[in-house]
Amino acid sequence: MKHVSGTKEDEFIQSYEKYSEAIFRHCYYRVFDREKAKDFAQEAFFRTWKYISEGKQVDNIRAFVYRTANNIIIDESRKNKPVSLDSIMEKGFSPKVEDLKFIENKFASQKLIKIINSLDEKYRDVVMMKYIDGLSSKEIAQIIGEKENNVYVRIHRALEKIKEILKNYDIQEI
Amino acid sequence: MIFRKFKKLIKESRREIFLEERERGVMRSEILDFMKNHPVILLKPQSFLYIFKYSSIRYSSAFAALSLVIIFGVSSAANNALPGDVLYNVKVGVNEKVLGLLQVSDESKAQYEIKLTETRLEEIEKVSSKDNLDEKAKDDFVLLLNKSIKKVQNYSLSIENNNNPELSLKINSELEASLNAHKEILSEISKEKENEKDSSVSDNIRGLLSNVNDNISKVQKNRQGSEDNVFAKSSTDVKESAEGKLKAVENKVNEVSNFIEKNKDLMGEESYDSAKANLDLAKSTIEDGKNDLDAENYNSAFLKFQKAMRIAQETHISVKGSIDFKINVPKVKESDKVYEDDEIRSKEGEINTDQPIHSKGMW
Repeated sequence: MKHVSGTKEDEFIQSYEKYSEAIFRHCYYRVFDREKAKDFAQEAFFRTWKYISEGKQVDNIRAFVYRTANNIIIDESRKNKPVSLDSIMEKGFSPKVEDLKFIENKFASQKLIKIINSLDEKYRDVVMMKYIDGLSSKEIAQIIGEKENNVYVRIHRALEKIKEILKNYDIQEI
Repeated sequence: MIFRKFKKLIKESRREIFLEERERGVMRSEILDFMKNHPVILLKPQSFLYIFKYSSIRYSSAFAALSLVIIFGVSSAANNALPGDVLYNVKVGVNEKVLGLLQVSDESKAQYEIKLTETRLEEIEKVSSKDNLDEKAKDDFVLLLNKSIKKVQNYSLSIENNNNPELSLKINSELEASLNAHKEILSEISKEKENEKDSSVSDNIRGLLSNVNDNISKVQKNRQGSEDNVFAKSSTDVKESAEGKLKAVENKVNEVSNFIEKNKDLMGEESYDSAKANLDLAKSTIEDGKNDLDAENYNSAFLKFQKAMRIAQETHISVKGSIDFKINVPKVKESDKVYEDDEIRSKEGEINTDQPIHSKGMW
């Protein structure tokens, strides 16, 4: 976003087209509520644009929107009681399903949530950002405010834990 | 092997948790609204240093840097130029055309042309209030104004033909709100100029007003055509758009309400009361729409939320005008077709909902 005013709008909209889906998913896997995830994703883009429109510098817009989305989610969880996985399952899990294959498959996302929720929060975040959001370690470091080396270590440890979980359970039964 | 399964699981879950095209469209449209309401703050004189400090210019040769600084400088300075200024042609012929080329979708092109229409109308107001509106300037304005409005209509028609009357309606409504509000501002300025010795400015404003009025009639007709098409759509197809529009209009009403309160002292009592009355009308229209939403009349709800949005947008521009030119905020005039429940049923029987009624009301 280093161009003169006028191209900023266009760049921002292109960033929205590129990252909105992933940001929505990022929020969804943290709040497990489709409507809230949409609101948070939108708010993340609002806040990012406000920052840019005030003439401030954003070097990596993708990382910036993620960090903003994370802050919104953290603020929200401070305001409200955190949502437990059990309550989500009780409430009913309802991703948008276009393909019957997924119904037969008992929702891949449901299984994934179970695995990821078995991890400690600090490992959960990096695994999700790395494998679900497809972010680079450098970008994750920017988002969580840690050194890149620490991110590598966390991902490595998280994968070891996932390996343990998957060894104990057959993935089809999760 | 285990990780392959894990990655497969991630890939499949990615296909389950996604935004639908319509949801993305609604969100995009709200973000565009937000961007419009929070435009980029142009850096003042220090912007040259800013460009020099942060861009790759510093690594270029001194000559290239100087050339760029001059080009950007001229281009940037031209942004505030008015007709009659040396740089006005750079603004209209270079800056605006370059920015226009950057717009990709029909929606962004239409939004950009609406922005240009507003810029022209604001320029007309500034020039008129300074007594500088001669006949040539008036003719130039009419030409530029008509060109932008015509483009908005063409993009909106193309959007409508792609079976998206909700978006086409949003575009037509926004243009109509802007034209209506600026017409009132211009007409107030014209009244003030009537008593002056040289009545040519007032005559020229009246000439312009007649052109704006013609455009309003055409845009209104198109907006009503889009409303008919939204109304003809299957109710369930409009549900999400109606819910999205409700959020957008509530945000807009809050924004305008805050703006009015913040500028209360600059507006004068009469203007403040009119602006509040307009917002009350928007709020009651929202409430009507919410009732429709509860009754699952999504088409009707969408149209009411869009109408409330138009009222809020018009009020916003009128309040800005009242502050800049010390004139009164007018009451918003309603020019709407009323859709009754009976009409919903009869329309569902008459109209083939697969075919957009794009010929209706378009020019």
